[in-house]
Amino acid sequence: MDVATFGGLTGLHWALLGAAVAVIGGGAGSAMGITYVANVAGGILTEMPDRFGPLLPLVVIPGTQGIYGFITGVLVIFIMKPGVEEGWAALPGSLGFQIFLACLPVAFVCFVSGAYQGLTAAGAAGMVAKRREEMGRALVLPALVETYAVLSLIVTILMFFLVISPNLPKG
Amino acid sequence: MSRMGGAGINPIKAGASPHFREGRVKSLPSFLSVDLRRIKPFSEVTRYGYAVGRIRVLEMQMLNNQRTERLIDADFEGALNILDELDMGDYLAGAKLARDVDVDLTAFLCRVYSTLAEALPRGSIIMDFFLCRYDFHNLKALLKARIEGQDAPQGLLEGLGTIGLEALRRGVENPAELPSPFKEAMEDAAELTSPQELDTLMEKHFLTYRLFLARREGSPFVVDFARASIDLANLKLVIRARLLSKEREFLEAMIVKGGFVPAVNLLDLYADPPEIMAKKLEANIYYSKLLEIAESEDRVVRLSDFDRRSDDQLMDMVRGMKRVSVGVEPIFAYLRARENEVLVVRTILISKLHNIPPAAIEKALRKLYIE
Repeated sequence: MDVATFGGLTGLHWALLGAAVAVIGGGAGSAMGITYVANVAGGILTEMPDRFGPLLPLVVIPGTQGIYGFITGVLVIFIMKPGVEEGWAALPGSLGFQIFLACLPVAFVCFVSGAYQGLTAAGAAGMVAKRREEMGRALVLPALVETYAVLSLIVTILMFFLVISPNLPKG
Repeated sequence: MSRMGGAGINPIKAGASPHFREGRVKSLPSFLSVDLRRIKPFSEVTRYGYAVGRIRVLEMQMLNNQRTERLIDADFEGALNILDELDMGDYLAGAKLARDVDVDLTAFLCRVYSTLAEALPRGSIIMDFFLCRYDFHNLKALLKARIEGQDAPQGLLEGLGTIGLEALRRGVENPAELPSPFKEAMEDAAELTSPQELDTLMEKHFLTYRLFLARREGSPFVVDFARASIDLANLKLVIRARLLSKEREFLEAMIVKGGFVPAVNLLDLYADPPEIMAKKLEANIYYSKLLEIAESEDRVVRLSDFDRRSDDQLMDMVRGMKRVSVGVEPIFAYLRARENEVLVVRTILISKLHNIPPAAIEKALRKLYIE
């Protein structure tokens, strides 16, 4: 088997696929989540325009998953450069596959949590509509969903370290 | 009257019930069974999100129990002042007679429907679900006037409903001009000569059409509501038919299909003597719950208070929709709650005009959506 490829793809292909999956998963989850809560917020603002301030954090909060996906993609592209002299072309297929696997936690968890955080935030927006002073509590509920997106990003970063550590310069 | 206790009963075997539906995984314990149809597709959230946002604000203007208590204790003028704290108050300002109250509340209800109609997504049939009631009501009033040879029909509701009064008038003369299901209702009513039978027939067409709309909308909660309404209407029909000693054929023709209780079961019951019929109803958890609605305090089946109790039963179902944060259910609950609120306010204000004591008013009131 050719060490430069794994499953028919080169290391560069696997790494780019991982980055793409992470960015797509996180971004799509965030886009869905923001759409859900923004729809509800739009309805509330039609009746009560002065609620824009308290509602904005709720609308923004599902956007973080997209940022985590973006961070993962950037980490893949700019940090994962084993054998700098040879560049990306020298990335073995198996190493590229490991990078791809490391991207999966963010890709899946951020996709799902982004959408569900939007749903939770949409419910919480109803609380803010009724009682402005409930804004703090309303923000806590969707923030709980955020925990798992953060954990997935941490795991992805740890996996990156695991993947690249044998390739780090010694001493 | 004996009741089947909750312990040791398998509700699935015991009979149909909105809470133990067909289609669940019956081999699992109830707390593990998941009805996949109740998991909301994300598209629902996108469709109804805007309208839900608006009603979350409008709900704050609804009547709650505390305000209702104040209304009951106040005199007519005081009640109008209390209602002035709500959006309904703008419509009722200056009302002096029962007719003013009716006209003002109808105008308010029109505003509620139109506000929500503009917020709903294209293709939503939830407004039709609520407004078709008025079409059937107006059609019934026009037909009744024709049967009784009156020139001016009584009780027409202008501005509510999906079909204009002129179109309905033309439709009564020429049913082919009416859309379905009103055309079919007209065809069925062509032979009728009794206003009571006309009432029952229109109710049958109304409930059947509403179930059709609920199924098209696709929300299990709304379908359950439509089916439970059919059960309550059927139970009322069976009891009334028994009290009036009607023939089984009448019941067969008028019973509405689609409820949780199969029509054939109710028809079988009708063949039994009253005491066996009551025992059979009691033997099933769901039937017995329905029967409870028709019972008065002295445990005699009476229909005097049936409508209020069945509305309360349906309101309990609507309150269950509070668990759904976004989707068609909050909209449905809001509209139903508004209709109920109008009924409560009307009862209170008309009672005040007739000097009915607070205790009697309280007894006549329906449950509110917001406690």
